[in-house]
Amino acid sequence: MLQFEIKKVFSKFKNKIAMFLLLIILIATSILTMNRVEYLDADGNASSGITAAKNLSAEQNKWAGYLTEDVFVNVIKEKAQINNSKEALSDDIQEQNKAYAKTQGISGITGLINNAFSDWRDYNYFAVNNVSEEEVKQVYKKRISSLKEYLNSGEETFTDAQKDFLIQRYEDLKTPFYYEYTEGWSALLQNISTFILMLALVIGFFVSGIFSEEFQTKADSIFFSTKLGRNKAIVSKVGAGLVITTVLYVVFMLLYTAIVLLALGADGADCPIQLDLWRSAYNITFFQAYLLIVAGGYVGTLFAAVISMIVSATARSTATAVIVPFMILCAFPFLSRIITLPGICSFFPDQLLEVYLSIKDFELVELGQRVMSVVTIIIPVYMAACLLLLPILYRVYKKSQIK
Amino acid sequence: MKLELNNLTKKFGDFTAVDHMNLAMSSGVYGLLGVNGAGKTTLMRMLCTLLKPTSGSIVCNGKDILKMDGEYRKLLGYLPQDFGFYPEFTVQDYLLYIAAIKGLRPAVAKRRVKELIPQVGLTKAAGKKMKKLSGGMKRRAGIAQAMLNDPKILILDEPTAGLDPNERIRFRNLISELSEERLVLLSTHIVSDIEYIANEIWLMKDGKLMHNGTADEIINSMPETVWECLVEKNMVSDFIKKYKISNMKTEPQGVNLRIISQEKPLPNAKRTEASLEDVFLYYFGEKAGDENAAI
Repeated sequence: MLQFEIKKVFSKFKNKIAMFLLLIILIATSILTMNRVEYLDADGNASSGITAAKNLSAEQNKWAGYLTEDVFVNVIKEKAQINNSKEALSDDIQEQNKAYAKTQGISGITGLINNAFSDWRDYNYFAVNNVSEEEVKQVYKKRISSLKEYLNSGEETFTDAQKDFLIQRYEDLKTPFYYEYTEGWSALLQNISTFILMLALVIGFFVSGIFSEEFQTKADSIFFSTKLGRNKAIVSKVGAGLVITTVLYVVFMLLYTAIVLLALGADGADCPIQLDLWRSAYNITFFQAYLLIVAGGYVGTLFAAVISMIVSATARSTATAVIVPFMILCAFPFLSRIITLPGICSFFPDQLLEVYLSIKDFELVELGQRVMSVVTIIIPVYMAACLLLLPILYRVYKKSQIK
Repeated sequence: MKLELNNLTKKFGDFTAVDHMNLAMSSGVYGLLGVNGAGKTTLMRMLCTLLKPTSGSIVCNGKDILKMDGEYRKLLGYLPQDFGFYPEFTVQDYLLYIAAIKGLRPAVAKRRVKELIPQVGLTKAAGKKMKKLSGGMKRRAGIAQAMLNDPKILILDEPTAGLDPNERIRFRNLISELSEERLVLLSTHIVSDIEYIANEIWLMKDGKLMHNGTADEIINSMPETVWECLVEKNMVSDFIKKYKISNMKTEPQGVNLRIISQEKPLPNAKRTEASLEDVFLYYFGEKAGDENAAI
C-alpha cells in the first residue's frame, strides 16, 4: 500500500515538475554556496568556487594546528610584516590585493583576533593591526571578559541565571582551538537555512495532496468502502507523507552537503564553531553545528508537512493545504518582524529552519531553575507535536463521510 | 447473507434523503429505481459505510455494519455513480492498489487482477493509464475493482450511466454474469437495465420505498391501464395535458400515443400490456420526464 501511495504522489505531472524544480534549487544553491569562497592569487587576481577553495585550503592549512599564544603572536608578526610590505603600502589596488593575498592563510586567525579585540556589537577589521604581542596572548580570556562586560553593561535583558549560564558556557569552551581550513563548512552552514526553507516548501507541496486528492479525484467512495480504507490504508497515507518528507529531506540534504563539501573541501569538521561564530554560546564543532541545523530543519519540515496533511484531510483541498507550509515557514518570520514579542517569536516553527542564527545569537529560555538555549527546546517540542498530530490526522481522515 | 435496513433515515439539515426505510435483502439482484434525488445514492452510500445514518441501522447477518467496520467492508464491492480513480495509474496498478486496500495479499491480488482483466475485456488496455481509457473502459475497470475481493455484497450505483447502447448491453450482461451467489444492489434510472437483470425491484421516491417486488408484480400493481391510440398532430398537446404519456411516435397518419389512464382515452384506443417504463412514469411521472410528464 505504501508504495502505491508514494507512486500516486510521484506519478502526478505537477509533482514531476516540483521534483525538477527541487533539482534546479539544489544546483542553484550549490553554485551560490560554492561561490562564497573567494581567493586572491599572488598577482592579486580574484577567483571563487572550487579552484579558490583548493588554493585557500592550501594556504590556510599551512597554519593548521592548535591556536596557542605563540601562534597568535606569530600571526600578528606575520600580519605586521605583510602590512609593511611595499604592496600593502602601495596606492594601487592591484598591489594591495597582492598584499591581501598573503594574509589569506592567516585570515581565519586574524578574524578571531579582530573579534576578540572589537567592541561587543562591532567587528573591527583593523584590531589585529593594533594589538600587542602581550595582548594577543589573551584572546581566549578576552572572549570571556568581553561577555562579562556586555552582560554587566545594562544593554541586555538577561536574568542572573541566564548570565551565569552564558558565562559558564564560555568558560567551558575548550581552548586552544584547533585551526585549519573551514571555509567549506562555513559556506555550507551560511546558505543551508535558505536551502532548507526551499526544501520544506517543495516537500509541503508534495504531501499536500496525499489526503485531499482522494476527494478531488472522487476516488474517496471506493477508498473508504474497502476493508482497510478506514484503518491501514490511512496509516499507509500517513506513512507515505512521512517517508516522502524524510527521504526527500535526507537525500537532498545529503546531495547539497556532498556537492558543497566535495567542491569546497570538508576540512575543519572538528574545529570549534567559534572559529566562524566567535560569540556563539554553543560549544560545538562545525560538524555538530551542521547536525543541529539539519535536525532543526528536518523537524521544521516535518511539522509543516504534518500540518499540511491535516489541512489536506480536513479541507479536502490541495490548494489550501499547499499554502500551509508557506504560512508556517514564511508568514511567521514576517509576523515576528511586525509584532514585538521577541520571546514568543523565538518559539515560532520557522525558527527550526534558522538554527544557524540561533547558534550565532543568545536565545535562551528559563524553565524553572534551568536555563536552556531555545534550539534545545524547540526541536524536541516540535518533534513531539508532530508525533501527537499524527493520530489526530489519522482520526480526522478515518471519520470522513462522503456525501 | 442477509442485509436488513431498520428504520434507516438520513437527513442533510432539513432535507430528508432517506426516510425510515425498512427492508431485507439476501442473495439475488435488487434493482433500485427512482428519479434523480430519490435518495438512491444516499442509501447506497450508507450501505457502503460512506455515510452514517441519522437514525436507524443497517444490519448484516444480525450485526450492525458500522460496528463490524472492516469485517463488513471485506464483504463489499462498490462501484459509485461518479467513479473516481487515479488518472496516472495504469489499469493494472489501479487494480493492484485497490486490491491492497481491500486487504488482499499481494499474490492473491496479482492472481485476481490477472483473472478479472480479461473477464471485463480490458486485456489490451491493462498497461494503459486510467485517464486514457474510454468511458466504457473506465466503467469496466470500475466493475473489476468492485469484484476484486469476490464480494458477497455488490453495490452498483448507476453503472451504465453515460455508456453508449452497445457498451450498456455488454455491461448489463457482465453484471448478470457476476451476480451469481451474491447480493447485488443496482441503482439506475434506466428502466430497461433493471428490467433485464433485477430479480426484485424497489421503487424509491422522496427517500421512501414506494413499491417492491418482481417486475411482473410491480407492473401488475399499477392501478391504471395502458392504451395505444393514433391521434392527429394538433391534438397531441391536449392529450399531454390530460394524460400521462409514456411514449409518442410520429407516423404519416398522425402520432401514435401510449397513454396511461383508467378510462379509455379514445374510442379507437387499444388496451396494451404495461411495461416497467409505464410503471416508472405512473409513479414518478411529474419528475421523471419533462414538465408534461411524457418520457
